[in-house]
Amino acid sequence: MSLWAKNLEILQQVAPDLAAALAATAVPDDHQVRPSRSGPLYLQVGKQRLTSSYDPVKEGQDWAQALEGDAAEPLVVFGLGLGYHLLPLLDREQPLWVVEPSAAVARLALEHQDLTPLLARGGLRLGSDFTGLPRSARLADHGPTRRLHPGPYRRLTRFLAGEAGELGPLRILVVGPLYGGSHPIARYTARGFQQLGHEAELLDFAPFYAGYQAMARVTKDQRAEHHLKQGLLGLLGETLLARARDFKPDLVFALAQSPVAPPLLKALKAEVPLVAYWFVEDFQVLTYWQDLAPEVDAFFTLQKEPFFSELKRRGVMNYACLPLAADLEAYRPLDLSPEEKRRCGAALSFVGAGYYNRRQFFQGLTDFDFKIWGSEWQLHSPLGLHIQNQAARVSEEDCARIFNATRINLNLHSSPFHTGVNPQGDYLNPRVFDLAACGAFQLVDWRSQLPGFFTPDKELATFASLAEAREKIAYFLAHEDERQLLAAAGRERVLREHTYAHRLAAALEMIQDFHPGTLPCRQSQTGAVAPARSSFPADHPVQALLARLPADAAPDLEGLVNQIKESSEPLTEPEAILWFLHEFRRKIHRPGVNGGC
Amino acid sequence: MRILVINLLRLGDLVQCSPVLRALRRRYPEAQITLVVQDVFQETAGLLAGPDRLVPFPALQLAPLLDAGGDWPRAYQVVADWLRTHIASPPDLVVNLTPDFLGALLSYLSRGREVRGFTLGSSRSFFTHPAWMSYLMIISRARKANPFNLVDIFLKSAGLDADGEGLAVQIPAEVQRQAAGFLEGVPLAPATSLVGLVPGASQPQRCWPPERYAQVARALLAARPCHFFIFGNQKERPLGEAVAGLLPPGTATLCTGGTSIPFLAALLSHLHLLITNDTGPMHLAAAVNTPVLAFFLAGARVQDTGPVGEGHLALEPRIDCHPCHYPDSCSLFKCHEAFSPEGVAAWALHLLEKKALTPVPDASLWRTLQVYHSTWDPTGHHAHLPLIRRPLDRKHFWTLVHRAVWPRFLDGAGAPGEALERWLLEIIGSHFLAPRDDLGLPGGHRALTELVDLTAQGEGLARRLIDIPQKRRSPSFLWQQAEAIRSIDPKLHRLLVGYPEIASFIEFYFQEQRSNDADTYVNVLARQLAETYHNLHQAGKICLEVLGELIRFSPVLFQHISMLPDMAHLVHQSSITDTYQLTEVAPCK
Repeated sequence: MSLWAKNLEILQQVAPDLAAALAATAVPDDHQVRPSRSGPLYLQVGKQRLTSSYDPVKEGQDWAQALEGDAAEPLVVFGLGLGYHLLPLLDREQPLWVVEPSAAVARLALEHQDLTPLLARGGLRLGSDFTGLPRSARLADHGPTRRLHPGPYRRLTRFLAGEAGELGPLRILVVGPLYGGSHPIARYTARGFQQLGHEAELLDFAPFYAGYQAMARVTKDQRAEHHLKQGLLGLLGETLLARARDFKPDLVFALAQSPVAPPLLKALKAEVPLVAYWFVEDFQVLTYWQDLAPEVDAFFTLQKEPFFSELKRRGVMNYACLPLAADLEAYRPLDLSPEEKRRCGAALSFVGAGYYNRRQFFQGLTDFDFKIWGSEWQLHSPLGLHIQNQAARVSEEDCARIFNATRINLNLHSSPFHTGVNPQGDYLNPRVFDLAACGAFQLVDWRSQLPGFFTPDKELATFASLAEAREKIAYFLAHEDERQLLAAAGRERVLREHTYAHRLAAALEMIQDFHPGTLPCRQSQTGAVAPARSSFPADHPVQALLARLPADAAPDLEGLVNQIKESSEPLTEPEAILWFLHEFRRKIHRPGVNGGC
Repeated sequence: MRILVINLLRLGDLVQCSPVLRALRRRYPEAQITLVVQDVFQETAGLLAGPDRLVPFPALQLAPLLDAGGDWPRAYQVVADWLRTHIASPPDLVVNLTPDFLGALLSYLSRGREVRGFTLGSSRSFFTHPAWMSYLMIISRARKANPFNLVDIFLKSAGLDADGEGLAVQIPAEVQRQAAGFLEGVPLAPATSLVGLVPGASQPQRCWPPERYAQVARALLAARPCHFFIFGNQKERPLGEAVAGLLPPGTATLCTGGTSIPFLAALLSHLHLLITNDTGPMHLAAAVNTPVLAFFLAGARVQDTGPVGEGHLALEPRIDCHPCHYPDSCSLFKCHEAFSPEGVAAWALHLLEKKALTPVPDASLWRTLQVYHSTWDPTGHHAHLPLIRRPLDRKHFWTLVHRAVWPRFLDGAGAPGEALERWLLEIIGSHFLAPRDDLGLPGGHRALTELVDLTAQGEGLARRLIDIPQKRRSPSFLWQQAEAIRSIDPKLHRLLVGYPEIASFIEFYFQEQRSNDADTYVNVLARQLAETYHNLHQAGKICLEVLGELIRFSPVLFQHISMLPDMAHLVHQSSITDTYQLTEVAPCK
């Protein structure tokens, strides 16, 4: 049995999700394992050696020997390397955890070292998962790993020091597109930031879409139309700048297709501390990222390699993969009426646009009770009888109803180049998360990133070909209990790991890693009552005002003054001072009331 | 007696309140007067004569505490400590000249026994006292026909009378010596005119372009020996450099960003002329009696904030869009084009050569501008009179009408009488030609008549509420009365929008409706409503009365009106005052 198989076997018993994630991890080409001068293998990631290339074993022993302190004290090691430095610790009784930021390094370590004593006691953590780490533990760092991942190291340090989550409520301006698939994602993003306690606002350009479309009807001259549309987009850019000046965000978070051209991004960066861009597109299908990525402070993608190499080649430094997620307000289990079940339900359903590969693939499923929802489907085609509602666009609410009412929700990632499943498909579309969030059963085409998010055959079902899809459709139609088990497990996974709040918390951590100290730490709005109270003596009149605040009111001046204005009691001095401060703040944010000198 | 004066405004506004401090000192010679200003302007406030004590308000300390991420509990302590330290005992009189909630709240917190200006009561409603403060509050919304300078409105809002003496600052002798020393260091030929230039302003749209300043300066250099001192703050330095860069070497000294306010005042006092946008230094120059030639661009209006004193000139563009309705969004800057450098230079020379400031005929050089000469009317109120003699137009006519109406309306028996009317008639004759175009008389007369009728109706309805005994007030009766009253305000709004010349009366009415007593008893509310309708009714009647008097006694107006079919009845009316008796008008103090 190989070391990898031995380690994995233990890991599957102790942490099956982690085992699945590591099993699905592909090791990038720049992760090189080679023989050292003394014989044992050493590991190099890019230009950074994670172990000695002369004698990694001795180096590990020296590292462990140099560790000081109480042998019974819980120890957290940051960095797995190839595990040499951990081997001397595995025999000890000392409680031990290892946090490894890179899945690829973890996989290599498990391929080349027997780490079963560590794995058996549940001691491996991957990425930002600090679950179960004791706050009182001593932290020891594997130097090369710390140099390679300074951000995650800082996060772990803060976590162990009990300072995690100290990033104060930020002012975040989320910029959406005029139309398209990223529009709902922009809404969910704003909501996700709000759920994290930040003051997030969506700058919604959707109302301008009608005007944008109208441009096409103004002239038949395509150049003139393009010119007009560019003019409108320029105006929208000005709108963004104006809003940013007014809102004064700490971070502008733009979604794919939002009207931000490189010159605008330059102007925007002069106005706000940080600009991030979430490119929720296939980088090979849409290539406008090439102009935008170098202009922003953080560029988030759905895909990794070879996209990362392309970004690096263009000099983009601060990029990271930020997968999609689920919005639990939009997508959740629903109690449907019989009429809704009849209208939206079917044995097999698909919701989405009629891309080429779907039009081809679905022709092989027409013998099922199959409903196709969404736009851009040809009614006069072999699929015509299955297309619902004249191929009209499906609202978010109806989408959730269909997911809930359908026995098997089919999910086939779009591709303009394939006749069915894209064998190189990597990232996950929003539907994967939306379906799981609804607690709906889904049958999805195989994607290389899938095991990192859901456990195939436990949380959802997969297929790699039409034949496999047909086989599983028939099977799961006949096995309702299994469908329900998988669907429930899928929803549990979403709740645990894949909400927008999870995702955006990770995005902010990465932004902090890219630009340490740039995002401000503030007093949380919800947590501000306690510090505000502690600022005044117990018998101070402001205490009574704070105590009278309704549960849903902000414990800020705004909330207090709203309360003060509505009172019918005689105005007291503390109330007048608070009101005065409120007006003062309004004035400094909007100077020049009287315009003159 | 302890008096607290609150002025949380900016440099120019502080200088403009110097007559208030002077008048307070005269009226209350024994009083201890304390002036509260923002700490950022305490240097300017130090120049003002009158207060015994200057108390800077810690705005600089508060701003970061109240900005995003700040610490408002700490800010609370700062204000509480400041109040405890500086306003330990309630003043006898508080004069708040800050027409915003900030000033009103501070006046409340000072616990003064009497508050003049804008303040709020313990019932949490904001109100004004005396009524001139309401006028100050509304002129930004209905300024089209305002004839009163802010300096005079400050005085009236403080319950004081205009004294016709202008602004004043006190420059420390040491600073004066430093300024003299500075000027001695500038090599100047004999008989060189010292001219100040202020190319900056609080808003870019109020800045006449620097290259035009330079063109004016070059034109002056061609006419006589001059040396230019260019002023402004640090941010305005590029503007100053742009002007200086276009002038011959050795003819300009750049003073932007490097001068304290007292030093600036001292330098200004040595100049022969200051050419400036509507800025704080403009008021400072007027306060040290240096002649000013000022540009009123975009939203700035000469009648509102023109330089106070005798013999200053202020230029306004003569274009339809001035004063700018959209000062924050205009990108055309047509008003900047209205002043030609040649025209400006001609008026600058006029001042430098101390020529008489008497009306002159129109000329192509200044077709798109009007020049106003600063002076006083016989009642001590400041006035800006047009120097380029043109036919009396609607804008100027109504400004003259308002000058007569408001004191009579708000000061009642204390209002100036015949002397002012004679002066107005003289001005119409000497500074204007006979009107050619519509003065807005038929429309204005109709609107005022409608206003008088509506307010009589409103007052009647409100009084009916008071008069009907409590037991006969059924809910349906109250509802009907409320509906009938409610139908009047939209009609007043229509008049407000349709006739900007009388808009200020109606705005004033709405402002005055904000009472200091938030009582909810029907009787109290109805009485207040009846009073405000009555006051507006009186304003309409006084305005009609003044219109009638002007028409009857001004030959040019009489001739003009007799040619208007709609207005002929006014000419033939034997006695307009019979219709609108002066004695009916109760003072609105």
